[in-house]
Amino acid sequence: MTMKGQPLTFDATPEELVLFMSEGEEQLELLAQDIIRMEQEGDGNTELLQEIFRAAHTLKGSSGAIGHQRMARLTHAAESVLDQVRHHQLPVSTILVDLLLKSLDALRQLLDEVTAGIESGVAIEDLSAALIALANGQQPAPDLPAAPDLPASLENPAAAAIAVPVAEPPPAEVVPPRSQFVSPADFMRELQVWRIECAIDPQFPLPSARALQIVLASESLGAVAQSSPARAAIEAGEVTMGTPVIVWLALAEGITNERIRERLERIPDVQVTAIVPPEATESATGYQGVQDLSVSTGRSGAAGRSGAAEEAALILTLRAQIAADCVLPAPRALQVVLACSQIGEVLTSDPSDAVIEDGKVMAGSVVTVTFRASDPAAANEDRLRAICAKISEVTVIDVTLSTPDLDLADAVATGESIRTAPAIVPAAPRAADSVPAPRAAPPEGGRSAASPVPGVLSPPPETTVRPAVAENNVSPGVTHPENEQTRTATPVQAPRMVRIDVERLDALMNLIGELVIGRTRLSRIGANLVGHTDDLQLMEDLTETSRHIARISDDLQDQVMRSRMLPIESVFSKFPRLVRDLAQRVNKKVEFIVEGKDTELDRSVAEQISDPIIHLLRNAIDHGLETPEERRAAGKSEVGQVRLSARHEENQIVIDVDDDGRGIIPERIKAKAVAKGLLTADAASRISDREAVEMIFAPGFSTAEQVSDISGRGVGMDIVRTNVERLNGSIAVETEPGQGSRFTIRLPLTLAIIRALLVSVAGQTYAIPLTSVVEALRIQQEDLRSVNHHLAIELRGQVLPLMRLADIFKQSHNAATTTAMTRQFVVAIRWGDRRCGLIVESLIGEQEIVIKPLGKLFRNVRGISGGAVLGDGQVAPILDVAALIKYVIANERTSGEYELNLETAAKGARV
Amino acid sequence: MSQTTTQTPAVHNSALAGDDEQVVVFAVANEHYAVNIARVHEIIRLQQITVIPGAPACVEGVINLRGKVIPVLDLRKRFRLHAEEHTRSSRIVVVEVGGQTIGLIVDGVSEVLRIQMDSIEPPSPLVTGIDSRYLRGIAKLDGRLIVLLDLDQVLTDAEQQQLEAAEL
Repeated sequence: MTMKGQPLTFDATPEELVLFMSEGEEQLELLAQDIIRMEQEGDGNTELLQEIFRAAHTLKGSSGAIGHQRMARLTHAAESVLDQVRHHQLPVSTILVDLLLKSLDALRQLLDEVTAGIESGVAIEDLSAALIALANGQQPAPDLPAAPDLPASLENPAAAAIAVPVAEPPPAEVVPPRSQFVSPADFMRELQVWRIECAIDPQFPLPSARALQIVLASESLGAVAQSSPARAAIEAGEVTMGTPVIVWLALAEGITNERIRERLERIPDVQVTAIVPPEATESATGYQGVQDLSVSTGRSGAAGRSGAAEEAALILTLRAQIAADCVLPAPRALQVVLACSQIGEVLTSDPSDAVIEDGKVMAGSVVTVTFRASDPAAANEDRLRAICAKISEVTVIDVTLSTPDLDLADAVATGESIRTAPAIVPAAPRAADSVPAPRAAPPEGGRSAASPVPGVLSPPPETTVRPAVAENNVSPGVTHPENEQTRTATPVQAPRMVRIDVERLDALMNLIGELVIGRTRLSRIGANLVGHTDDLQLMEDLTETSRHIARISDDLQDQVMRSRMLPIESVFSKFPRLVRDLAQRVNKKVEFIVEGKDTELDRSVAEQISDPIIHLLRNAIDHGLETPEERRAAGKSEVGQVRLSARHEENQIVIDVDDDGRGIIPERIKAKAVAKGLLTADAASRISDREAVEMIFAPGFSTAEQVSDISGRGVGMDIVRTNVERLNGSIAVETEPGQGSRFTIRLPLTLAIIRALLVSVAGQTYAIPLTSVVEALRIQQEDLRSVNHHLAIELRGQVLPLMRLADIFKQSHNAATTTAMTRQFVVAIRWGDRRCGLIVESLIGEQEIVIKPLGKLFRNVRGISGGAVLGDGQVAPILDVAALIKYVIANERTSGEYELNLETAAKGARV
Repeated sequence: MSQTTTQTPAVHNSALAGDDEQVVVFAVANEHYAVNIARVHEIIRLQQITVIPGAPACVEGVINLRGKVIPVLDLRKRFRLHAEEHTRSSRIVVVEVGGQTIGLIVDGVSEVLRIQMDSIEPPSPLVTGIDSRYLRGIAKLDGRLIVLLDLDQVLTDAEQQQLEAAEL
């Protein structure tokens, strides 16, 4: 049993763990998306089901490789359910999806343990048990506990109440192509698989010990193909009291019911509850492999051989090299095998599946997979290469077509050892599970002529020679990788992606900054030289060179910016799950459409935009969409539509959240605003519908008629707006009563670079983020009004309070600027609802600026949010618009009856 | 230019205990000051400094050092010495203090010296006229007095000062 807070150690280097973390995240993301899709599409989409299975399988392999046992175990349980699903032996049901999603939540916590280094206390036993129960055709316990520490929104009390479709008996006729690993020995030999179920006395305190004894005793009878609980779980002592132990026994020659019973019941506290002989296994649920194997058993012996001969042309051997600097070679090898399983049935792999799953694969080694193509038309080399090209750090060496050799099959069938593989058979299929076969002869152009295979094809139980296999794998791959590559006729499609630390990109960005300064100096030197030299040619060269450098540094900056971008998919991917859970909770039917997932944005923006979008989605589902009944009554489809889309527009990213719900009704907003004291009844009657709708962004406003546990958490649209504006973005709403609403968020592509208006005060340049700028205008001295000793101007019928930037920053203007006061500019800025104007001396213009933090020394400086590195390398303070406006508000308060209406302003001006 | 970013505090601590210490010597108001060479990232020409309104008085402003915005302190102001226009020989000594990179404006940088530990005497305000808190000691070398600065103290006080200066 595991305990919360127990420190964890993993069988991996820190680099491996980092890689594992990021890949694990990816797999979990993929699974979450695909499982939601699976729920929508049912089990008709075989490719999707395969993809889900593969993702689970990869996750299992890699978690096993780093030694995260609990994670591997849970993924194993999920994988066995998914395996049944993809073979259409288990229908896709709500209960199944719920269970899988809960498992994903738990897996995420398990994944987080890797960073935390201590156990999170997430209970996997119940989840795995429920999954296994489901796989065994049972209904999981109705009160399945959710994993602890889950966010409340993810818990799903409704799940238990939903009608549970009991797993239907698997359709008997179709046996889809298998992608489990069967060595040729297993495949061609008469295979007898027995299913043995044992009960351990529930009173016995050490069930794991008994379970292990059962497995070991079974091994003395034949080969244990699989056990439940899995061997690893048993060895880790995690069998709970009362759990039945099931063993699938293969290659048990001359075994009988009695022999099994006699052998196993010798173990104290153990009772054999059921024995299903091979003849009957086909109908038994549980170990799917068994059924397929049984099919092959049907045409065993001579028939099996002629069958193999018929399919002679379809057996392919793929060799792929894992990069020498690959950090997690085992998952890569597994991916190669899985890629082949996409095209056909994997007969053998070297290293074997078991070795790979044990993580005993060396970087730089060569993976050889022999498989039978299920569809000869689809099994061409290009397709295989295309599939493998998606696997990072793996290079396909060659793909060869082989004619399976009857002698080989004979040899295998009779259990003879194979001394030489015929020359025409490249990388002869081997019983990889069992053979400590050193890959001695470096294959020449993919042909392992006369490669000795000293191992005898023994039955596949546990071997002790796996490390040796792994080591042997190194030799051909590491010593001759170039040779092998150069011999490949077709060009190798090496993976073209690398992972890179964001910090490194930031460092690059800084260096580019230096380049920019150098470039500016260069052009300044050029300018200074004018008139000092007569050598026009030299001058021209200098100008030309400095222009060239300017162009390059601009491009360089652009490229680095781009490399920091990632598709918004990384943010969007978690939303289908969220929408599903929300819809289920409020009993609404929602069709969720996501568009523009490929839209790229800067990492820093991506990290912070998630919460505002979640809030909008919640609102759309909770408040926007009507209940199915209401929708029917309104003549709409019962299923509401929520659409999330992203796109680029100029230098912005635009995100829309649309719903086809009831829309926002201005009258209701007004009534609410009046009730909340945000508006007077009089004012409410005067504002336009549009202004009324905008009120939803006002602080303290929430339109929910009842506080729901989804949106009514005291976080209103004002927070959404504040968060979006903090990212220098903006939000707007459009609505049509009865038709729906659309919220539009506009964001800069990056937080590091924004567009700003540059202004000058007392000889210094300041930057004002353009998103806060309403407008900029030139004013005359006589335009200024005084309202209770405060400066203001009238702007389109409204009073705009003014501040002199120079006064705020206590910068003394020199005589020249004071006298020139007749000519000045006002920049109207906005924060939330508040507006004010800043008086500046001149407008310099718009520019893209690079934002830099100022550091600790300026922590308490108010009114300035950072430093902007301008195009010429100079630094300009960036105005903190929020702080400046707050300052204005505070000033208004201290001066007492500062009234913001036009009449007083006009009066004040005349006084 | 040097890209030294790592900094071992041990150098600072063991410096006094060791036999000798390598220091960068610079001038501020006709006095010679020195800091341990390990603390000095680079010495750059004076460039245009951006004033940050509301910053502590001794903080002259910020500069762009290869894409990084760093604060620049005027040591004359720091030591409350009479302010003077910067000249062509004025330099910014970029140092690492308390994990921050800061620039110190000095009147000029003269040399790198090796100072024998036994030639260092405890600081006396009478000798230098600046607050002895900023000093680690005074070295006599060829008849010159070289004041060894305690950089950490210089910054700590600046931060303290800016807390008090917080307004608006």
